[in-house]
Amino acid sequence: MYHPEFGLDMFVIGIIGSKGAGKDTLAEHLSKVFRAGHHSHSEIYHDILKILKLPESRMNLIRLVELRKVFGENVLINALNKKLKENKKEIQIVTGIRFQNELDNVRTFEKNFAIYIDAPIEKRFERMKQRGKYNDDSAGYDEFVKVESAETEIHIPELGKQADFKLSNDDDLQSMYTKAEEAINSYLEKNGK
Amino acid sequence: MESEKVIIAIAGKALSGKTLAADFLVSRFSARHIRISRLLERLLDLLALENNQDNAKKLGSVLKEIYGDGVLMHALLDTTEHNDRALFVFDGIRNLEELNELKEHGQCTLIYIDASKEKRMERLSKEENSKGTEEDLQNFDRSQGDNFTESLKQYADFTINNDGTESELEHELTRCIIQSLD
Repeated sequence: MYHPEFGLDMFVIGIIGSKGAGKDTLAEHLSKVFRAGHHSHSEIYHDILKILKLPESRMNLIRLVELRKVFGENVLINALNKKLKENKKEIQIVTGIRFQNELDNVRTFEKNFAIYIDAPIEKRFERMKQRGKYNDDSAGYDEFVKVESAETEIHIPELGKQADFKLSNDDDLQSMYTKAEEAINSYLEKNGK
Repeated sequence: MESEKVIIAIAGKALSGKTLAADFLVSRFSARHIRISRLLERLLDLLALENNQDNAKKLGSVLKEIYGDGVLMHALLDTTEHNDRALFVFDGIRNLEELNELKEHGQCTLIYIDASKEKRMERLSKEENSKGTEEDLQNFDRSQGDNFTESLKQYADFTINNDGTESELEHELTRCIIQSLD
């Protein structure tokens, strides 16, 4: 696995969550509070589509999973680690963990913490609708459910079970933020910072 | 002359002299040389993969497999949109899909560079680790993966035989460019 030489002492916070669970909202908040870098596994795929001048549609993104078959399952991880190295922040937040090896990669850093954020499917669908990703009808809901069973999504609940901390994002954002900050601070106290 | 962009596509088997031709068009006509290899290099760098021929080939094929044969041309053509240059040279067109992608974009002239097997063997013998035998050439062709290149000959606006000297090649290229700019 590609590893930034000096980067092993980075503190990496991994955020696992299904679509619409609020992982990027949480990551954005935490990156401000902890002055951390904020990266997503899927940003590499977005970067590729930008270079190829292709629309960053869901289908185009999902198709890039083929790269794993050609260059090995660590291809995305190696690319992400390269970005972390270039970004040079002491604390890094990594979202969009969808496969076991991606969580394993977070664990290879000496200081690491994995958060699973979940919300009921209805709430998540509601949020995705607001982002204009799905139609507000039963066909839209069916499509959302179908996307949940894609190769890129099915491992998420299983990975969630391995998290150090679980959050439910069905009430107010502020209390979710507070819980996450407390969990991270208590990890840092125990692990020296 | 109006500021309309002219694309010169160059196709031909390995060692036929495509790069030489492209370099000449750059120096003589101030053309912008656009290479698929440079695009692949950027992507390999992003993916933290070593930039070598094997990885470039694998990446090119998987992208074509998922997004269609014209995908790399599509990305490269975008560079021409944001560039003031009038003449663009695309070197190493390998199949009809790539050519069509270029043609859809505007005025495109295909120059096919031909060279005899003997000449290509001779050029190969100057490369490292090669004796320039017929078998070496076959293996080399295979490693380049341009199986459909020869079929492009029938779509060429100009075919240049490059068994002669460099200045003969340059003379022929100049003639093609002048004609296509007319």
